[in-house]
Amino acid sequence: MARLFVRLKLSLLRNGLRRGWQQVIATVFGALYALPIAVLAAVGFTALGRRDDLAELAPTVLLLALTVLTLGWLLVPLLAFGLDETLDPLRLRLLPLSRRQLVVGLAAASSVGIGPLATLLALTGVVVGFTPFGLGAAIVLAAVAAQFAVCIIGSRALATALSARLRSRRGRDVAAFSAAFLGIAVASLGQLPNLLFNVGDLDAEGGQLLRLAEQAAGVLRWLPSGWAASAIVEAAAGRLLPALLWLTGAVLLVGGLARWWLRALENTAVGSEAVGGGRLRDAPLFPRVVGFLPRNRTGAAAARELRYLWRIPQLRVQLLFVVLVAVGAAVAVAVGVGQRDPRLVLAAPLVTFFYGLGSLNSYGADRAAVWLLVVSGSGSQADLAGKNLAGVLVMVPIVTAMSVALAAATGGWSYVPVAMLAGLALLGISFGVGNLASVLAPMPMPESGTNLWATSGGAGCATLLVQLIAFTVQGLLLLPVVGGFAAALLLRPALLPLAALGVLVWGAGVWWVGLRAAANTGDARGPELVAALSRPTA
Amino acid sequence: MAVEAGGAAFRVRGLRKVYGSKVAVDSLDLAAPRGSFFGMVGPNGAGKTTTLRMVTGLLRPDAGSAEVEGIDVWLDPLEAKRRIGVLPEDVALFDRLTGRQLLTYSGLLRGMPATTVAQRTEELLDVLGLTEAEGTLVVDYSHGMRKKVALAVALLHAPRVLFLDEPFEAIDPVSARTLRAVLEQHRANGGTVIFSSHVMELVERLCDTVAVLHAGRLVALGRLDQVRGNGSLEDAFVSLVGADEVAGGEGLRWLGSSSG
Repeated sequence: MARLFVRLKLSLLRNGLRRGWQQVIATVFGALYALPIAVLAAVGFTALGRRDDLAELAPTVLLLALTVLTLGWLLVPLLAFGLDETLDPLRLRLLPLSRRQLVVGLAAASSVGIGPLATLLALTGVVVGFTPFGLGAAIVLAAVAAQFAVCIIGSRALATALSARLRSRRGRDVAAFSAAFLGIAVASLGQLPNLLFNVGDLDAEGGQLLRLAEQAAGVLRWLPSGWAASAIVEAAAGRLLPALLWLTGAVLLVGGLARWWLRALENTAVGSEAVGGGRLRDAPLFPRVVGFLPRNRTGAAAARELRYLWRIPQLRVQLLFVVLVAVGAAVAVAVGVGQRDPRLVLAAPLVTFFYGLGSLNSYGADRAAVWLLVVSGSGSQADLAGKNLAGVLVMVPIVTAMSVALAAATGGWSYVPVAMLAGLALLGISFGVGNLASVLAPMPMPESGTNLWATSGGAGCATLLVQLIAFTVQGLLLLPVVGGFAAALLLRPALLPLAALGVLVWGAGVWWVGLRAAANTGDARGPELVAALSRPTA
Repeated sequence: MAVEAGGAAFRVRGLRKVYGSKVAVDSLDLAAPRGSFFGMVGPNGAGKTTTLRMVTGLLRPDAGSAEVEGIDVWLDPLEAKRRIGVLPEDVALFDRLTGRQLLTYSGLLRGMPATTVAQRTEELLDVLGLTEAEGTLVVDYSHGMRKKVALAVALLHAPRVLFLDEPFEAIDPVSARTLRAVLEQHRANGGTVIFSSHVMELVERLCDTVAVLHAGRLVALGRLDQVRGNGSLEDAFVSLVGADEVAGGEGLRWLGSSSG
């Protein structure tokens, strides 16, 4: 059974490559990225275990590294790559396979791939580096095998357990919020080293970091993710009995994860299909809060976009991300991280950057439904302008709130109007470029809500290239804004309102040029737009 | 069968579409009379969907021209599209909206005044039996309901010519009857219905004019009685495409036995 599943996985991978050269390039890049890192890790582990001068660091580093590895295996597939839908247990449930056969088969198939290969490479380094002579060797080998199993099985178990929840729309919403929250948490954890390095000088820092790492390791070795690593460390040091105990724990952990996976598979197999969301009151197209929108093409497009921003999980996550970034930054300043310069209020408009990224692919969420736009002959200008209007309606309150919050924290109230004008200007620039990019290189967003950070699937190389160029152009066009403000701030602060108005004119001009160009292109390229957005995203 | 110029609901001349090495539509010449219930039949891959997409502006032809009521679809798209209503096979809609919101949006998109849109939306939702689905997003609709709401979208702006691609595919009989009633009313008011299908019995029951397509070419065109002669449309079709011998039946001896 295991062999059969491995062959299935290999066939799927091979056929995936056959779908197009962009898949081949993606795989090659993935391999080129992951494998050298794995080799480096292997070399690092070998050195760690064999060199005497690193001996006291070895246990700590190994523990931390393997904990990160385990966590990565658990979380990254969920956050970054979604469920491996080619091995979706739901597709196999009609086959007369016992759950045990399924687990064995899927585990074998999950061990095939670039990720598992890279992990195995890195773990080989651990084996080479930490294997002592004698009985300890067997323990180390077993522990490494257990570590690999924990990664693979734990990852699949978690994914399967969540898959049922992720299939219902409510579950996806919860996942969307958690993912956004997790993203922010990770990003802010990344700030910790900065905070740490703010204290003391270089020598003290190094020692302080090491002490922190040792404390962390002391805690982490008790978590399940650290049991296999502890077994390796103890065996390498010659303490066989503790090593054996840790190893037993790790093996039991593997068994427990497998059992969890079995149960999750059973639940998935007999669980309900995705049940539709609850009934809403039948609201009119125009949300009441924006009832002032005109009832024409642009207004209707704006209303629809607003509804979509809330109802499509991927867009909602992006919106939440923007809000959380804004809130996080405001809180950080208020709490006193960094200096309290009133001019910080001018940083508020930068939050529009994240929304502007999404505008590079405005039709992504509409997917194949754009045929309705093409067949109605309404022209792309109204639709794009409507989307931009929706963006402005969403971002203006956010920028305003953020400016006010920062002003309250830093006392820079005089900068608030300037910040709002700058925000509008930045939006104008983002949308101007984004509109053109959206009609030149549209990419459909995947239907599945399991991978909420996926904003494109199966995009061709040319499409990605255009998006990259558009992104660069967006940045370049922002330079005059930054330059103008910097000049005004440094040379003659009284000129700041003038700079703001100038920047607003610049932003409006870029927006109008971009919109007209996009409208002409979009109208001429209707069928191509539909074709690009109807491409299957799996 | 000759259709006088200007009297055609739609006309294609030399229409051609090639995908790589496969010729989907091969220099097609076709015209449908106004006010008719026109059926395009053919097996899967005959080029029906491709032709319909080229006539409605969704697919760019490699050669040839397409006109709807005398207006060239590719030279004067705005005028042509005003007269066209389309119900494609894979009904991709803005499905994160409710039925009413979707109809309002499509109406406003076509530049119709808001009051007209509101009034027609209510009527269409009522006639098509979609009012119980109030508050449900289109993405949660059943297949039949999706087709009905898509038909409502296609009808909202009162088009002259309706293009439907496999409209009755996977539809329950109740929804199908509703669809048929609406199409009949459209025709009674002077409109034309063009629909493609591979289900011959359906075409026989509904259409008065038939075009038979095979491998991207027109094989027969005319009134239903003319095309099917004395037999059924299915027999006529099968003999036209030259697949007289029916395969299958020999072999497969294990089928239905319980020896696994």
